[in-house]
Amino acid sequence: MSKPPRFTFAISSYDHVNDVVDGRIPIENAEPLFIRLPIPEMFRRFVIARDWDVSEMSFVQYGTLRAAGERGIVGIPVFPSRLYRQSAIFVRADRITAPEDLRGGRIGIVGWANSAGVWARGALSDMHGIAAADVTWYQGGVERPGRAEVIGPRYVPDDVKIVRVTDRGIEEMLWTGDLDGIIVPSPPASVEASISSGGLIRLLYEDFPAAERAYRDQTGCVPIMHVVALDRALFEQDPDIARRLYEALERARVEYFASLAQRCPTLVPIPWVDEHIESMRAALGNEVWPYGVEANRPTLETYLRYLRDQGLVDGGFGVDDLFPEWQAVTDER
Amino acid sequence: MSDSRVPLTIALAAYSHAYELRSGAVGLAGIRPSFVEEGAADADVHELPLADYVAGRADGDVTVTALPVFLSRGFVHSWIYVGSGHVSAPEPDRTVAIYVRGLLQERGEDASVVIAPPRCGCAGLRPRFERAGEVEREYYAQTGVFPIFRVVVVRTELLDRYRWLASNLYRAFEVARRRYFARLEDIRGSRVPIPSVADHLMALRQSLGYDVWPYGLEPNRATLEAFVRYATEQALISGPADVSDLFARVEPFVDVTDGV
Repeated sequence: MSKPPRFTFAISSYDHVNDVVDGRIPIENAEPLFIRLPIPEMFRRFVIARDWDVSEMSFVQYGTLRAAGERGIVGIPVFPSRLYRQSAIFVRADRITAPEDLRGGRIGIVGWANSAGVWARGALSDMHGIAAADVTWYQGGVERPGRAEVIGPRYVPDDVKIVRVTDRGIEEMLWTGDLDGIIVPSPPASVEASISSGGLIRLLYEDFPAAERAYRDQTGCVPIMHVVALDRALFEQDPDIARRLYEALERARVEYFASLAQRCPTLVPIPWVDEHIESMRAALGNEVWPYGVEANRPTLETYLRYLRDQGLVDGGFGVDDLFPEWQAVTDER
Repeated sequence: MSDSRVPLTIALAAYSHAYELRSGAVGLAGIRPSFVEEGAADADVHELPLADYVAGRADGDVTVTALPVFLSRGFVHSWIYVGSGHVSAPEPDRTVAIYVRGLLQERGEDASVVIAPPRCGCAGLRPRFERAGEVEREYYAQTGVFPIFRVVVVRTELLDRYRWLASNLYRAFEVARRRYFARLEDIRGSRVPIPSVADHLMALRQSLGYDVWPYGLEPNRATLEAFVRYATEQALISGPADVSDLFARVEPFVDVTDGV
């Protein structure tokens, strides 16, 4: 066995990952140093400065960069964060009473290549036929003006209109009526307060559990927000590290589901969680949160369709182009 | 540098809702904790099955005193099976069995059932309740009882020596619990690998109230009183005890960010 590689690994806190971070589940033949910082900072510093050897990162940025020919990052199909984004769309109640009202409207976004935004726009298209070209998009910071994109769109179709806003936050524009809605991964305080008091700004889907369910039943997807990727230098030095990392993270995921099934002691305090998971199996299959390429193929195909429709990747880039290095060092085809 | 914090050994199962206590993210004021193997009964802080603790207290054993912290609990209708032919099931948990027999007797139903973990797949057994979850929610709505399986106990001698210790431990468990449930609603990332878990939490709050998994004596009084009543009926203890006497007195945790 070769000398274990020492590397830095930046990842947020997840109940299905922390056993690896805490060392209870070791990464075989490896000496990781774990780094935990706020998500946007960890992601940005990996993508721009390659400050760590292994990092959790935005899955939309990953696919966009890889499709553009970037080979400096090598992903493994581990998806720590997956969220439906039906609850990330906030609208003015005086103008928008149904999703269809957004057609022809103005919507603020933090970035075109933001994972929450890509999945939310994809869902508007799949569920209500509202295409990217049917809305004028205003990209900028939420509270503080002038947020620039970490990576910008590359092949945005000619009919898609994206207006960069540098002098105001999109939160303010929503309140003043210059926007009809915003799509943001987490709502600012004024929007949160408005939602809980029944004010002017509301969730597009007041019953978002029902909207998530309808989307899940129609698409079979659990939207992927984040992926784990390696700096190519580490991968070149020890290609098998991709397999060993995957196996440790997969084991932590499997053990989480084992702890979920345990009824005394109750390691996870969520009553009737088995009913909840059972209710999703018709749409998602037996494993509701798998890692790997094959088990996620329907979700990955939907993801690439959204990236294509939204001009972030071109037509020739397919599911098997996402993790070819990992597929080569494991047996998965 | 001298460290005058009180050293404390703590033995707990790998609870998600106490993870931030073990990781150190939630501090234990005045305490220098060392976390030891689950089940180490000589640890200063450890867990006991509720039945063992209640029986011990009734026998006059006061070496340990419980905190109103309930890491392990669950509804028990899904533990009830009826057997046909040869039955192979694990030894039933004594605490769970007391709840099961108690609630069946209370309803005037046949208590000669088999008790085994939900979805145990044991040969020759079929669930007594087809839709156990619905029965459990109805049971909670009628009784306010959310069965408690275990209690966290502290060596009484330490509680006597440090009058702040019980409340400091209690608040740390409470903060860790609140942070756990906040994680289920975290929209920056999915902290548990369960799709739409925030939706499930909303549904739980409809059934169980905002604090779906409450600590503290008062929110758990109905449960504890039911258990003591069942334990008395089933002769685990000889007479009804006042549940207040079973627990260390703790100051309720007040979250200053709640605007009090």
